[in-house]
Parts: sequence; C-alpha cells; structure tokens
Amino acid sequence: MTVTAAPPTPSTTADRPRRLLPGGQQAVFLVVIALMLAGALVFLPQLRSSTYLMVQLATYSAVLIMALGQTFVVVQVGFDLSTGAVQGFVGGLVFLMVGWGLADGPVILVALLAAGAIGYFVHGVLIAKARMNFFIVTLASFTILPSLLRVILDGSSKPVFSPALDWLANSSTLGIRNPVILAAIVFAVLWVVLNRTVFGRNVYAVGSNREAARLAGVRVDRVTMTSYAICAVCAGIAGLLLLGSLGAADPSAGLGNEFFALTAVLLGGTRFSGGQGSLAGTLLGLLFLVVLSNILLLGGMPQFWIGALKGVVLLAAVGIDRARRDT
Amino acid sequence: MTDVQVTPSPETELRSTPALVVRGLVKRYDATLALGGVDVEIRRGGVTAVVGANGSGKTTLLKVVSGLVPATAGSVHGPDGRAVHRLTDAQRAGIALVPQEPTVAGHLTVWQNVALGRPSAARGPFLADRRARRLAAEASAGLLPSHLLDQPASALNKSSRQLVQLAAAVAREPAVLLLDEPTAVLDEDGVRALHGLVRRFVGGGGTVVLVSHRLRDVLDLAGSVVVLRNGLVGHAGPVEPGTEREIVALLSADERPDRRPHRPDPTHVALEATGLRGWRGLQVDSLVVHRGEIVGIAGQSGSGRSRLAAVLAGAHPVSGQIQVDGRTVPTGSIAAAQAAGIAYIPEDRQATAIMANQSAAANLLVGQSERRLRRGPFRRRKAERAHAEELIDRFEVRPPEPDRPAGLLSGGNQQKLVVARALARTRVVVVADEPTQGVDASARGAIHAALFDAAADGAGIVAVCSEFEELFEISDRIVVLCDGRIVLDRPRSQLTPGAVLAASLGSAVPADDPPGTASPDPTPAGRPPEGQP
Repeated sequence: MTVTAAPPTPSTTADRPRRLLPGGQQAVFLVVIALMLAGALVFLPQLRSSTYLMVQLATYSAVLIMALGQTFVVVQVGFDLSTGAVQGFVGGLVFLMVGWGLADGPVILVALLAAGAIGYFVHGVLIAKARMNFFIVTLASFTILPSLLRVILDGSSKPVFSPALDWLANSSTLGIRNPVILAAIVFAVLWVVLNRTVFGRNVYAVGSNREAARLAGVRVDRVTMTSYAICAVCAGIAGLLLLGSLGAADPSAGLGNEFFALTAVLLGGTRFSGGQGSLAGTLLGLLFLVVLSNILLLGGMPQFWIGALKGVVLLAAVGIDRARRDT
Repeated sequence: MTDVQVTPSPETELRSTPALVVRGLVKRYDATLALGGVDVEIRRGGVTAVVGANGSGKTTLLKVVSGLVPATAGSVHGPDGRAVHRLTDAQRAGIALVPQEPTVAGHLTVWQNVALGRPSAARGPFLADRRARRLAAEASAGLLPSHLLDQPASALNKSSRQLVQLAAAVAREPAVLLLDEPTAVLDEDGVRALHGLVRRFVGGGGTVVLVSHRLRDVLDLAGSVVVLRNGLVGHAGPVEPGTEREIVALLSADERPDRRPHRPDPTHVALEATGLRGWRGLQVDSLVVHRGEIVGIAGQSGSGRSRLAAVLAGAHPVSGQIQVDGRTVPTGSIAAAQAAGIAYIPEDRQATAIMANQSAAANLLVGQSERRLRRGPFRRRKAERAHAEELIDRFEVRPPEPDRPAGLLSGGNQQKLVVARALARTRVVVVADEPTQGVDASARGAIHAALFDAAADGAGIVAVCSEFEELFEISDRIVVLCDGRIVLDRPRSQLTPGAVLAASLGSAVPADDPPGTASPDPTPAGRPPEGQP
C-alpha cells in the first residue's frame, strides 16, 4: 500500500462496525446448525420422526430455561454455579408442600418465590452488597442446597404427585409438548426484559463497566441482585419441569446441569468479561449442543465420549471467537 | 525557546539515519480506517510533536509503531534499521510507549512498578530487590518524590500514576520514547517534571515522539512537528517561526463557538456544602456555588480536588451537609444527587466513565431517567434514538454513528460522550472533573460552550481544572485546595496564576497577589463578598 488519495473522511464507511456486538456470529451459527440438521435428517432416518424431535426439544427445555436465566448473570459479569442445585432443591420444596396438603397453585408459586429469594437475598445481597466473590457465594449454595435436599428427602428419591406439574411436564397443547411452550414463553418474556426495558440495558452497562454505570446513575447493586433472582427463578422453573417429568423428588436431581447450561451460554457468544451476549445466542448454543450430541449418539458414538466432545467444541468456539476479535 | 535541540552539524545529519521510518502505514479497525497510508520519518535525537484533531490517528500511529497493534499494511523500521511487527520487535529496538491512560499494577509498590520487567532488576530468575529499588530511584529522580517509592501504586492519584509509568519507560533505557498525551492527566508540577525529563532524555541522545493537544508542550519542547488529518500526514517539518503560527492555529480554539453570556446570581445559591469531613482527610468547611456561576477548583493532585468533586456528586459518603437549591441531599448517593439535579463528569474516563463495549448511544442513555425516554420500565426506542443522535450532533462526536462501540472511538470523542451524557438536560449543578482531558481544540471549545450554556441556563458549575489556562479561561471564581482544605476562594478577577500556584503549594500569602486586592489573609473561610462575573 502506498499513500493513497483517500477521501478525507475514511471513518464513515457504510458497513457497520459490529465486532463488539453479536449479530454476524449468530447468522454463522444458524447456518452451521441448519447444515448439521439437514445432514442429520438425510443420513439418520431415526431423526425424521417428529415424535423423536419433539421429545428431544421437551427434554432440553429445562436446561434451556436455566441457560436463559444464566445469560443475565453472565452479561452483568458473574456466574451462578448453583442453578443445578436450585433446580433439584425446588423438587424438595414441592415434596414438602405437597406433603402438607397444599394445592398445586400455591405450591408452584411458593417454590418459585423461594428460588427467587435465594437468588435475590442470598446470592444477590452477598455478591452486590457484601462484595463477596460470585464464585464463592454460588459455590457455597452449590454444596449447601443439595445437602439440604438430602435432609428433606432423607437421602432417597420420593414420589411426588402433582397434577399441574404432571400436565406441565408431560402433556401437549395443540400438538406441541408443554415444556417447549413454556420455554418459548420464558424466552419471549426474558427477551423483552433484556432488550426492551431500562433494566435490560442496565444489565449490559453494569457488565461493561460497573463503576461507570454507577456514576452515571444506575443502581448497580439492584441490577446484580435482580439478575441473580432471574437466574434462580429460571432454575426453579427448570426444577418444576424436572420434578414433573420424573414424578419424584430426587436427591441428585439437577446436578451437572449448571455446566451444561453455562456451556450453551458461552457457545452463544456471551462472554465472561461481561457487557456482551444475547438470549438468541444462548438458544442457538443449546440447539447446537443438542443437535451435535444427537448426531453423535445416533451415528453410533459411545455415550461416554459425548462430554469430551462438548468440551472440545466449547474450546474451539471460544477460541475462534477470540481469534476473530484479536485480528 | 521553540527548539531545545542544538541544530546538528551537516556531517552528523548525514551520518545519522532516522530513528523511525514509517512507510505507507495503514491501520483498519473493522470499517474504520484509522491510518490511511502514513509516510513519516522521525529524526534521531530531539522531540517530534504529533498533533491533530481527535480521531486523526495519533494514538493509533503510536500503537502501531510500538508494536502494540499490528499494521494492516505498510512498514515501520526502528532505530536499529530493522522492521517492527510486534511488541517484542519494538522492545528489542528500544521503542517504549507511555500510553494515554496510566496503567500500573496497583498492588505493587511504586519502585516495583518502575523496575517491572527490567532484566537488571533480577539475578536470573531471582529477585534482586535492593538493586531494583536503586534502579527505580534513579529512573524516577526528578519525576517523583522519593518518599512515594515504597507506596503501593494504587495509593497514588492519576497524575502521579502517569509519572510512575514515565519512570518505568525511562528505566528501560529506550532509544525512542513515545508519549501519548502525557500532559493530559498531569498537574502543573507533573507537567514541569515531564518537561524536565524530556529535556534530559533528549540531552542524552534519545528521541521523543510526543502527542499533545497543548500548545505549550509543542512550542517548548518540539523541534519538528507532524500534523495528522484523518489518518494522513497533513504536514511534516521543523518547528520554525513560520510554521509556529500554523501550529498555534491548529491547537488553539481561535474561533470560539458563540458562548451564551452567563451571569452569577449572588442571591440564588445552587450548591452549598458545609462541614464535609472524611475520605482521606477531606475537610471542606464551606463551599458555595451560585446559580449561573462557574467555580474553578484548583490544587495539586492529591489536594482533594477530585475527592471533593466526587463527594459533591454523591459518589462517596462523608459527614457534613450538601444542599442543592436549599434542600439537603444525602451524601454518598448518586441517585439522590441526580434527583436533586446534580450532573457529574468523572475524572478517570476509562475506569469510571466509559462503557467501552457498549454502543455510543447506550453510553449516552445509561442512567438517563427522563420520562420522555421511557414508558414505565420499558424503553421508548424512537425517543432514545433521537436523543442520542441529537447529542452526537450537538457535541460533534466523530464518527457520528450511534451504534459504534464507544471503545472504538478516539479518547477525545469518548470524552465528548461523557460530557454529553452529563449535560444532556437542564441541571441545577454540574460537577465536572477535568472536563476537557484529552480533547482537541474544537471539542474543547464545544465542551466549554456547553458548560457556559448550562451556566446561562442557571446551573452552578464546579469545574476541576489542573490546567491554569483553562482554569482562568472559564472560571468566575477560583477555589484552591491544599491537603483536603480550601485555602483560597476568590473571584478570578482578583487572582493571578502565580497566586493560585502559591496557594496550592500551601504558602500562606499568595506571592504575587496584585496590589489592592483582598486581604493578605486567604483563610479557608475567606469567601468572596459575592460572585461578580
């Protein structure tokens, strides 16, 4: 390149600089998933059954809901390690309340309120007000809640019958499984909250630069506490779905799901550094994982290998993203 | 005075190759062309000033030359004649960059920061602390008082942190020192220390490339100048009597945007602070700002001027009382301060004002609680868009793209976003801590005009200014802090820069107070009879 007679305003090029914002990445992702799905439909006849697909979607609805809530926490900088624990713990709460003879409506309401309270008053307050590290706070819940759950259940799986939860987890409406509908509703509500409310923008602002947001007048502590509450309520909803589908409260329910959900969040382009990410990305991240593991399982790969593959995929996706950013 | 460098004799000039040779340098950030093909040679020895408007590519040029970011096209050759592609090349060639924003390791002491990464500060893999400390003391001589060496770097203010960074760069004994707006965050003392350092460094045969918006830096130090315009070299040559005028025209706001006249209203107090105590010895008995008045706050760094600003803005709790329009505002609450009509422009742009990975529009809108921008908890996106575009237009943010991430804007344009956010609507009080740091002459004019506008609309303005020129240009009244206390508080017309400097250094009687003004007793309580314009 030599000295060019460049126009005097080189900085106003028409194409939009979107590198720091999602968008292009999601389009690429969508194409990848579509190609994978198309290839799978051609080569794996089992996948062509609509029942199979629907069952798969319903199975992963709970994890999707957890991942959507987790997205709020990660965007504002943080991570809730306890979502799987909350998911299981809610089952124990429902078991208790059903045992007391409470009706389904109040049981669901109280269970979700309890989850929200754990998020807001325990995680949120300790992290935002007492300035404790998010990892430590949610690690504590990660060990405390399963332990309490075992105490409640006396160490063994207990059957729980709740008609409402049974309907929610195992029935269909207009040919679509209810968990899928529920996940769609949660997605729509959270999308509006994150993209169309002042709170949603503040989540991004706090994640981008907490002190700048504070000095600009954002009540940053409230943003953090509310984000953890949203995350915990989502984990609670996932817990209700899990309980409904198992028909029992299980002492080890939910464990491990927090990392599955987090993998989806990170695959979707949300970064630990905060201020970036989207719910659509999280949805795509999860779809990618589900499609991939189905292809591998149906294609004959031993199940034990799936975890290794997920990890490699995560490293590859984040590595590619990092390389794109650095150039 | 314009050229500190002795003109080299013809044969030395022939012998010496340039310190830096830049050929066809192009740097593209996404769609933004930051450098559009720069050709420039920096002569060995002496100071070359790089000047230009915000966003003209000055910082990018330094970053590429120092190997911090890769070039899109073109080449850079260092003083050893070899090409510079990445940071290690630049280090080998002895090119050291001191970036615009002080970045020091806060947990380490000052001397540890200065000696950091210097091989001679260690014996193989083992630390050699005594030697390292001695090296650090040598490198920071004339820059930092020796008692600061054992302080943790986080305890220092921004100006001193910048000096730590300078000392660290010098400790590496570079051949070429790249300084990116070093005086933007320095106080008067720091500027003098920097000028001394640059003269010593050049005297020892070093080469300095200096980016600055300050006329004084360029005229006092530089032997040659490179003018950047929109990523291209607009002019390059020696600083001579003929070119001096061009530089002056480029750097100073000769055409001032029309400023609305403002008049302090002595009967109407906008802000009154009494008995403020706390936060590392802040001790302000009384500060009054009238509506329509611009009060400049001066003082050495560490004098408490930025702490006072932060406290007035509600960013930090202290004991004492702050009243706005006669109503008490609880201290330590940004929300309460905003509700009372206080706007705040924080000092440290990168750390406390800009959300780098959010769009320019989001940066302008965050914390804006105006009713027309929202419907309950929901955003009114059309109104927001119009609001952001209007501010971008009014404050001349370049490029004028609301969706561009703020981190991709130049430092000066980021500052415009911060100021625009604070001055977006009518306020009772505006607290501005170094409102024009790092901005070019035209943006500086625009920011001053905006402050004058706010004053004309009846706001009381508190402006922390470390630059005396600016302090005297905008203030109606000047308040000087020293050791957390107000030591001088008088109308500007009764003060000289010398008097302000003397007071800020703690001398009891301003040395060259013009005769016939005020009492010789600048007590803390010495408030002017009333704020005359």
